[in-house]
Amino acid sequence: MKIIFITASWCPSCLLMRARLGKLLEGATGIEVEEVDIDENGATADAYAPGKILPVTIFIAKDGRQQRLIGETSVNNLARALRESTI
Amino acid sequence: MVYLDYSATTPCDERVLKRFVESSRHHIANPNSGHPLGVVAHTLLAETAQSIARDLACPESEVVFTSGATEANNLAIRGLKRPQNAHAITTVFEHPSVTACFTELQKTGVQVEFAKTDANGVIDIDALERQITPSTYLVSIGAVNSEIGLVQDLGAIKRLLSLHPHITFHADITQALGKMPLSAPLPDLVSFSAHKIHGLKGVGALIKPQALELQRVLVGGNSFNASRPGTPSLPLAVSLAEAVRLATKELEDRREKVIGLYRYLRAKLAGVPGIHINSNDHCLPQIVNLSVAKLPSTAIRDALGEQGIYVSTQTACASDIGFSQAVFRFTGSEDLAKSAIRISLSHLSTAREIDALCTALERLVQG
Repeated sequence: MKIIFITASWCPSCLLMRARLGKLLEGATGIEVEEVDIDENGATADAYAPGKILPVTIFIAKDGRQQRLIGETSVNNLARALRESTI
Repeated sequence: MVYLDYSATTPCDERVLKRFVESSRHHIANPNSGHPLGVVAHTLLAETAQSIARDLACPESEVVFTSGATEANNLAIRGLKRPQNAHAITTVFEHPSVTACFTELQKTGVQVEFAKTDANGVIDIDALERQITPSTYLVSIGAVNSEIGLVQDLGAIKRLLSLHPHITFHADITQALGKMPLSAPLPDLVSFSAHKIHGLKGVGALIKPQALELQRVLVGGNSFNASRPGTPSLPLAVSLAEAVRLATKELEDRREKVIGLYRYLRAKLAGVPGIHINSNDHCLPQIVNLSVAKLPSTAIRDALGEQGIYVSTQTACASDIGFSQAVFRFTGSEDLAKSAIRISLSHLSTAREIDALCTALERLVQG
């Protein structure tokens, strides 16, 4: 599975969520994480229609199902999205 | 023109401009040159640095001249040597140039944590003490948030951190300098730019202890400051010193005038329906952040701009996505964050400008 993490370097919520995501994925295997900075890679980010609130964390399951978490969210919510995307 | 965006930048004071022009005319030598003219320029640059340090009540400190506060923040945060298992503390209310530096630190393995705040957004000193670990090497807390004007008590933080000598305390004072008294002693490292205090664009400084070595963020030959290569601009440095001198000398007069204008603005805004004031009593009078019911911030800004009234939606240094992270943090409301604009006053503002703004806002609200 793959996680698209849409961020900006100046965004404190992104910093917070990067730490939570990192903690969640410690020791995990088979998960590709792609961080897309809206300022550095605007065109790539736009393709995911991120909206106004950052970060946007998109979980993409192997069968193509997508789950999108907007802004700051708890480790529990991240874990739930991860679980549902790996089923 | 009604300019109410003084927290984005200020017009240059004529006295500052005069010093810049005089210095540009008369001091043509490179301060790094070894010949007599270069030595004179170097001496003048050193005297200029001392003048800034004196005016900021830190006469023993080194003044590193930079291109502005962004570079100064980069040098302070990215230039500070990091221990193993490094832990750093900052806040959610920092300028984008500070948060971006911490993002980079985080990506290189530094554990970055946000200081806890009380219900008003002010750093909780007791909680900050509990957040400190033996690995904490840097605490960076800006004096004033640029979008809502929230003021942090640097004096109280400094007192706490002085009990933890392994920690370097950095503060971006860009939005505080010339707007409010700064408690002495200052943090170990302070950054600011000239153009926010009626100086020229393209110059700023990092104040640091003489003995503290910072790794360069730019590479090049040796120069006036060991941590910053490149030919130092004596005219820009002289203009910065003049802006700092005026900002500190005229602080009380400027502030008194702004407080009067702030009260007038708040009274006028109280009569405009559909306005929510996001700034609170812990914010500077120079910055009033407000939201206009159901209108996107960029639409408000653009509509005012068409009438010659200039305000910001958020700090000019973040992407223009029409969502204020600071207002969201401060109020917890996405709606307010999406419709937030920043009115920023200076001693040059007038009651007539405030009248024009409030009339325009009233028309906008009425549709």
